[in-house]
Amino acid sequence: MIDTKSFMVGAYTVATVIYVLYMLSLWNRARRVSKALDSAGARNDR
Amino acid sequence: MTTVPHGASAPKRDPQALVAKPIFDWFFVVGVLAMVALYVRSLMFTPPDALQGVAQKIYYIHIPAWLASYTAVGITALTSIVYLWLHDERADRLSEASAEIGLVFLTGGLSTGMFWGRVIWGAWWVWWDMRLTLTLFLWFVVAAYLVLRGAIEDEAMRARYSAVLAILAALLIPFIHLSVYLFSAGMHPMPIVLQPGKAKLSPQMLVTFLFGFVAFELFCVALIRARYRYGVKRDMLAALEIAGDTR
Repeated sequence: MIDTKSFMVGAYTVATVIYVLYMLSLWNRARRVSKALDSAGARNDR
Repeated sequence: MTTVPHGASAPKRDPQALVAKPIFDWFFVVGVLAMVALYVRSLMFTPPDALQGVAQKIYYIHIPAWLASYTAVGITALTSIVYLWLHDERADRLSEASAEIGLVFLTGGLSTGMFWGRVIWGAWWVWWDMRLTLTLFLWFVVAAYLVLRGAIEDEAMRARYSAVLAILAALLIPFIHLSVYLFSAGMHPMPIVLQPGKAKLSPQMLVTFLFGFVAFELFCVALIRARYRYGVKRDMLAALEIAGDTR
């Protein structure tokens, strides 16, 4: 017989991993752009 | 010079103020907290279904994920229409942001549905179920939209072509929603909550179910806002780099 609890836990885990990975990816991209913006702004000021 | 893959036009309306805003703000925190509350309520304070057992709890993150993806793809299509009409780059940027979030929720909806299907249907995937297959098709169209955006360098051409694809993608949504009525072959159940008469859910389940919609919509809008702000910063960087190169 199928252990329904493990499938429920699996679904919640997979969904959480998808959303958390996306948030981390967005945060990482934003962090890199912010850094580049700071250095580009300083370069243009000079 | 650093290669910047996307648009090079500076954002309109006080760009410095827009760029200074953080990507993740208070609204994002509200969205994440709503999701955490949904997880806690569905897993700890909602009774399991008499027939499906705890596998039914997948519903609380599966169906709201679809609604969130429809919202995101719908916003993509609407802002695409606005772009084709007004040629405003902000509409194009919002369209791109919501398409990316739409793909995230489509992935979440598909993967959680597979777990439920394995328990209740006995199969991870059923190809002849029209709702399932059409949804996978929508996933590919939205993925193609993002690939298309990355493949075209000219800003105006990229925005125009992707806007057309976004509108076509959104046309799939009514078909997906009505597929359980239009096609007799299929495994997806008919609506349980949104039907005439009394909903066939206990009050506790119904509250969790409806709260799931609210939580996912909040989270969806929060992610679109964050992704839009990232787009503003990225385009500002591209504009600064071009300005620096032309000096």
